[in-house]
Amino acid sequence: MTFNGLKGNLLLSALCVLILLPAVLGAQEQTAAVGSPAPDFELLSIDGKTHKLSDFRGKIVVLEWTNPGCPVVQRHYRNGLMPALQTDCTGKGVVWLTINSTNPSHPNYKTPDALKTIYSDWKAAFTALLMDADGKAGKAFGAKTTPHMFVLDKDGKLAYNGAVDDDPQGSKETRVNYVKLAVDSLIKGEPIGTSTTKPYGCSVKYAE
Amino acid sequence: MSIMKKRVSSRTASPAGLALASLAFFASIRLSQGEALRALGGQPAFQTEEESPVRRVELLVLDNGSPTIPIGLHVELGPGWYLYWLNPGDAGLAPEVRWTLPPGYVAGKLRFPTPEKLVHGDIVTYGFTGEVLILCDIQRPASPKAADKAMITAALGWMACQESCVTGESTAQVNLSGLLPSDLQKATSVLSRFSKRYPQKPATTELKVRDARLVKSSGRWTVEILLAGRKAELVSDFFPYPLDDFVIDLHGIAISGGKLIIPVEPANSSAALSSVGGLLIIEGHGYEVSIPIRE
Repeated sequence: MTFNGLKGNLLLSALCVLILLPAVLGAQEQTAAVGSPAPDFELLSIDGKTHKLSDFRGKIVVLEWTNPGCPVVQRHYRNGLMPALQTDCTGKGVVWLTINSTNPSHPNYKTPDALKTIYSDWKAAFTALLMDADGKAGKAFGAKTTPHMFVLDKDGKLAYNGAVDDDPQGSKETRVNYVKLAVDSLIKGEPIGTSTTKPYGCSVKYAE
Repeated sequence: MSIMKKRVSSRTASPAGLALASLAFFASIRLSQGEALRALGGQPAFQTEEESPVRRVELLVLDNGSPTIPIGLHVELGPGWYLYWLNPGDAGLAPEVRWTLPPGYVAGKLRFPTPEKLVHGDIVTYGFTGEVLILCDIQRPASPKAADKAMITAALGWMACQESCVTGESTAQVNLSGLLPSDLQKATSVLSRFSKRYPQKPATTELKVRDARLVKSSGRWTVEILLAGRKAELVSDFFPYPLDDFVIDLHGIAISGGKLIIPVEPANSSAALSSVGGLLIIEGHGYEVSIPIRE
């Protein structure tokens, strides 16, 4: 690669970072805790729209950390588990925000347009897919894996933090879907049976 | 989607092996690691074995003369790749082995060497680079039928990571009735590289638990363990086994002067913690403990 080419790429990368730079509002050093107000963020979606988490106050919100280069994420989309869960939740009035915190220098990083194609092919049914290239929103929530799931109640408090289900290896015939259970409990106004589990998958590809 | 070509190589067993049954043996075992890479869209498609994260999986028979057969699942990794421990940590997946055994044979628990701690920012994982030998005891039936094909097959489901992650499955086989004496040297050599890396039980004169309790304060739960004994002050880390109904804050594990602090978060308000298991690390060696906890 020539120096000019390198310079051009660096400028392009810097421009992308600036365009996609999320404004994380109120990000706290301590990560989100179940029962406490969730950190707020404002991020651009792959469609170029701004989404502020606190604007969804009054609705149940599911946050899904994702990376299409992770084989566990691929499995959940390709076997239909994640799209079916998204369809089920959004059909009940739940807001579903899928967030990509992969840093732009990582091989798994995809541009918004590339993500649009991938998740469209996977029949994703989220409300929006948000870019968190600097990882501030991910770190504020303590997102560690892809997928890593969070469910917020209508007051913006964190109600569930953990895995999508109890099947890390993808080998079970029947699974306990923790996200569905949490969402359904919130809709019914019932206590959530399991509010914290260990998430599984690839590590979130934050910038070092 | 592109899928790496399968390359299955196996060695036919020789009857000569029976005569040397009480010795340690290595049995051939090459796998089909190509089938392995369930190369899903977006994952790297490895065109050659050299590019694959898991370069080789083989079964070592360490003693074929006793009712219990110690088997080693030897995994060689490509440069920079790592495979996870039974507790992968904050991310990753533990390897999973599915055994196919002759009738009446029973596989025991997997035994891993002490892993490396891999820290990337706030994310803590445990795993192995280079190679790993996972042990398992296979119990023979009281009177195995001579006509039974003594073929043991292990299908290893794995996630390997470096900058990115890949999942796959590799299969290795060994025929107990056809072990080659020429394999002994290699088997011995592989085992010798790992024999000091398996966790030991601590001698009570060297390491014991003086107190272990769960402390709940201002919404934060921590396990506090006071160690005693000649080696208590030398404990530098703790690699926990996974806990049912609790998530361990691995980044928050701290030890100083024989006092071990393990922050945990319960799955729900009724979760109860009766014991904590894992490896106490002293000078790079793992000492396996299971510690009852009082509330």
